[in-house]
Amino acid sequence: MQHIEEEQISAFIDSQLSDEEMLAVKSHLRICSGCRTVLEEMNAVTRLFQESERVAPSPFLWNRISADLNKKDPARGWVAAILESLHPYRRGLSAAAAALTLILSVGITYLYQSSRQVAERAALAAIDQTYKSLAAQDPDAYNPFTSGSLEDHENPFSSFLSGGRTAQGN
Amino acid sequence: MEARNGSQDAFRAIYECYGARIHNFLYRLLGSKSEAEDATQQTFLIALHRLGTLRDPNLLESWIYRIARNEVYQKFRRKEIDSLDDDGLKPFAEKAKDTRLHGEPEKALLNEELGEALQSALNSLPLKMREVFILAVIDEMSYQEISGIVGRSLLSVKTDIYRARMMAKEKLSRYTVMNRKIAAP
Repeated sequence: MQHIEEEQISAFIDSQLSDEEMLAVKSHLRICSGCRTVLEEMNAVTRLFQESERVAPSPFLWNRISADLNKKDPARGWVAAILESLHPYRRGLSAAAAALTLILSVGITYLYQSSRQVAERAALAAIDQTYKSLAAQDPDAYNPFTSGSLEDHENPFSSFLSGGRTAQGN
Repeated sequence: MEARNGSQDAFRAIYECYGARIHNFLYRLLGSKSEAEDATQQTFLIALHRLGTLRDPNLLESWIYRIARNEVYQKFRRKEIDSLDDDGLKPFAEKAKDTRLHGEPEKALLNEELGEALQSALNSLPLKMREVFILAVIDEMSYQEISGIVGRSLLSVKTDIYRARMMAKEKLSRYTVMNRKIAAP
């Protein structure tokens, strides 16, 4: 005969099995003396603890708790009072704080990118201005088509300058 | 609601409702009346301060038990508890003395000895097994409630209660045999 697992018997004693499991255990216990012995031994230990004295606290324990509850931390003072008064609105405040954070993040990102674009445009304009002023002083030196700063084979316009030859020299 | 608004009367009502059970749970867990009182005091201070954070009032008892249990683990971590103090056995000794004075010496001796044996059996259990065993057998909580308090699976709770029962059975076999002899016709 297959016995019930002792762990099941333990849970049976605590009435912590499903209705189906309870019925199955009860049926088995009717016909199995071995499992009944295990049940009786576990029950005996359980009864010892359940019938043991409950140890009550001192009658003055509430006075000590109450005294401690009434103590206020002076360092917290007005800050604690404000936080406590806001406590009922914590959910609304949390949502508002999250929305504000999002708006600020988007705003700061937009401003940052805008300022970068402005800075880039300013830098390009400054380069352009510098180039124009240098070109005005020495047009040949700053003419990309005629200046000697590029070797012929590097100059994409060399074929025009040399009468129809391609840049590859063919 | 009144308690959440800081009403002292409401706080006291919560303490009177759950204080004795929590104290007994802590006493069985710690094995010392003085430690249990300290832990009970700390538990209710924390619980009453944080009452506003409890979302479901129906879970108040489990919530307080969880705070109490955490307080014990904190004490162990801070090494505030080493072993069973002698005064942990005093409640039983005191009760036994009263019984002796009223002319029941044998019963008194048995009560005293049994009380010591019960607490000694509990103290011999690892803390994880001890807490679930006390909650199931002495506090008669469901495994589901216990699982929520200790933060472990139902299966783990069920297994540890069984193992604790078997270990306690070994330690207390002398008393269970006596019980069965008394119970038999």
